[in-house]
Amino acid sequence: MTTANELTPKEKQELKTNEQTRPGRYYVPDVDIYEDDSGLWLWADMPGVEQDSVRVEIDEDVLTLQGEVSLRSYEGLKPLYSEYNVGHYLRRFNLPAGAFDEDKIKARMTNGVLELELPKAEKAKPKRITINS
Amino acid sequence: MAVLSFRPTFNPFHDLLDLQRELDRFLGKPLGSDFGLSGGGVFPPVNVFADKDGVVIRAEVPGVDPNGIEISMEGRTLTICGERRRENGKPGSYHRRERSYGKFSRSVTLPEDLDRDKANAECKHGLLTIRIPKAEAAKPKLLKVGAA
Repeated sequence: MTTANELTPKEKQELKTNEQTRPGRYYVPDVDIYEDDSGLWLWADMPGVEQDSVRVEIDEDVLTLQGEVSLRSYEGLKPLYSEYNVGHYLRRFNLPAGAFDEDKIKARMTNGVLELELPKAEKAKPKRITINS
Repeated sequence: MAVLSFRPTFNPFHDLLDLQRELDRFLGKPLGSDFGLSGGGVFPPVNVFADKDGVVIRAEVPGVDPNGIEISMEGRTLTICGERRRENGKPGSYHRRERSYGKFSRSVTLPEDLDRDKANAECKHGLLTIRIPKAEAAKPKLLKVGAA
């Protein structure tokens, strides 16, 4: 018997390392990372970030996810009460170099969630070795 | 002849840090007695703003289908319901699972002076924005002082 999951709010994690030069607090987006034989999938929560404000980079073995929120959506608004703060998102991951086919990486932004698909390079896929009798 | 204006002025936020500091100031600060929130600890966390027309409630709901969000109003109580579903039901291993899934429901009691019938909501990029204008009677009026 399963009970319906109740979502509970989480406090945003502020980015404390690798400070950015531009003013403003950065937050670490929550991610889910899934892997199977064909590739790696990653989902990052970046509410308030539009498709054009996302930057995904792979440099050697570092994957960088960056999302910027727009101040425009706060124009004319005066805070009365707050339970959460807003800010840009930044997170970095170490990836094994050469494991992914960089030309085939797909990124998509839907409802404030960045979805990344990193297909494995042929040589990184597990190979089954047949045993000859 | 003098004109009295009760319209509040809003200084624009200079940059992100400015907005962040402002939000910090209001973190958990109690609202007026006629505004009831079900309290922190219920998803989604909300921020409440004032704009020139009335009140704006904003909540972050990433990964939630906007078509599945139900906002209902009963008397002065506004309820936001929805569900966040898992994107991928494949077998295999998750290296990380930081995002949670499930249903949510949050109620807010609105102040009397809002025009609840004129409320509207939109959800874009995982951001839900509900605007509720002030009722006509509560809007600031300009008083003209006549010469005797």
